[in-house]
Amino acid sequence: MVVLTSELIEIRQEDGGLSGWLRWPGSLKPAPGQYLLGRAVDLPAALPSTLYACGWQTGRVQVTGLPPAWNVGTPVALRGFLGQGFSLPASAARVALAALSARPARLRLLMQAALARGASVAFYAQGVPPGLPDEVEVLPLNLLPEAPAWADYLAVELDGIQVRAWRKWFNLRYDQPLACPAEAVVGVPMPCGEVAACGLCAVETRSGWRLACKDGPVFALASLAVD
Amino acid sequence: MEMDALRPTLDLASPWMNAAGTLGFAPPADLPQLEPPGAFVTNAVSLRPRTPAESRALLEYPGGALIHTGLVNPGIQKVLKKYAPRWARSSLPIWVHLLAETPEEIYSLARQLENVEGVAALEVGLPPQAGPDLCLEMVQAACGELPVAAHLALNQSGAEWIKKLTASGASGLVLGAPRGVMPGAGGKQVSGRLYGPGLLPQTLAALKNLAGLGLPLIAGAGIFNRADGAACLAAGALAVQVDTALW
Repeated sequence: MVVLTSELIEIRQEDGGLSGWLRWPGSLKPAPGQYLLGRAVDLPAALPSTLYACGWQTGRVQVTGLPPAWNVGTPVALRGFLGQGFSLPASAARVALAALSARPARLRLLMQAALARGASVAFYAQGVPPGLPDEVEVLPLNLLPEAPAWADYLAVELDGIQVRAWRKWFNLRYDQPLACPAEAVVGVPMPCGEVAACGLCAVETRSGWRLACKDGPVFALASLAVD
Repeated sequence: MEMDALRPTLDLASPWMNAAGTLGFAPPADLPQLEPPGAFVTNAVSLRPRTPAESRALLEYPGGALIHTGLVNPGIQKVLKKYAPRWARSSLPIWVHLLAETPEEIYSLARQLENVEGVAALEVGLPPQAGPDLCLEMVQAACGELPVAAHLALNQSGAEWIKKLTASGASGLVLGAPRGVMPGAGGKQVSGRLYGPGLLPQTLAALKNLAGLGLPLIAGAGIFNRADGAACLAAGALAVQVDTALW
């Protein structure tokens, strides 16, 4: 984990909000699914903003979830990279990704990692997420139940309120397993970023409560408690 | 005068510390703070374990945020088992924040902590719905070998009964995050604690209003930088507690 002062260098509209590039002078790379906590140095705010890493290049990191008050040039204090990221199996040749809360940017780093390994990638989403490479096949969410039969690995992004009903996206009965290994990045507020055990980001799993800020935000999909 | 001589005092090498609920149950190894701290305040600890509130929420508004978590903690037994060794090794005095609904619970918590190495003070969280008599009884129940700081929400700091705190045996009063209500999902009202730099004027006003209380005051709301803390200390606070600015 690093604590440093950065600067916002580019902003774009994405996922119904703002994403952008921040200077990242360190050599530490985010694992897909990890996040940063950021505060604008000169803008007093009660809480830091949770910024999901969605791109990386030498000297800069792309994040989603920028607050509207930040502008290009805003100095930002960053802490991270935090949390547990996705574990893309080395052998995965067919990777299915699904944006269940309409925030496909949270899966972008994972998508890039899969493509870099030569995997075929299918992206299930509502509409066509912007900026996808040509080699990624885009499919509608209503075809998601077919994904586990095709994929070697599946990853979804979803919000906290969707967690307990994730099985309905795959038309699974309670006791029916997914046909492939699967993980989920769970979008919940994580204002303390591992330091306080405040419980705000608590996610119920089959083996008890876990904190998304520290034990997640990526969880094995099958471990999430369901209704 | 006699009670003052017997009352344990809140001794601090530095007037800065974290607020309860901001840094977990034991001092972290490497988190930057605004100033070198004089103590470490734990998350709230209750007699029995508490799970996350079903209605937990984070609601941001201009200048602040409302947070409702349910004050999740594993209960005193597990806290002691896991963290007492770290408290004993800590270079910082440990203040344990107690969470309870009755004086009996506070009494039990306090007695279990009194001889734990590293624990230097108890901070008694007073329930928002508790009446004056219950609040005073809870503070009294905590009093014993360790100094006791009563922890009150800032928006309750004007209550008349606070003048009786000095006689209750308390060694100090923490003016903590106030409580408020915001509309949540579906318009449902959500109650929780408020955080943000906009609270500083209210904290300074409370310090001014309680200046004649005769009890050390600790300012614990709205402090987001060194200047905020310095202002509270200049206004007469014994110490300041920093909350979400540490995240």
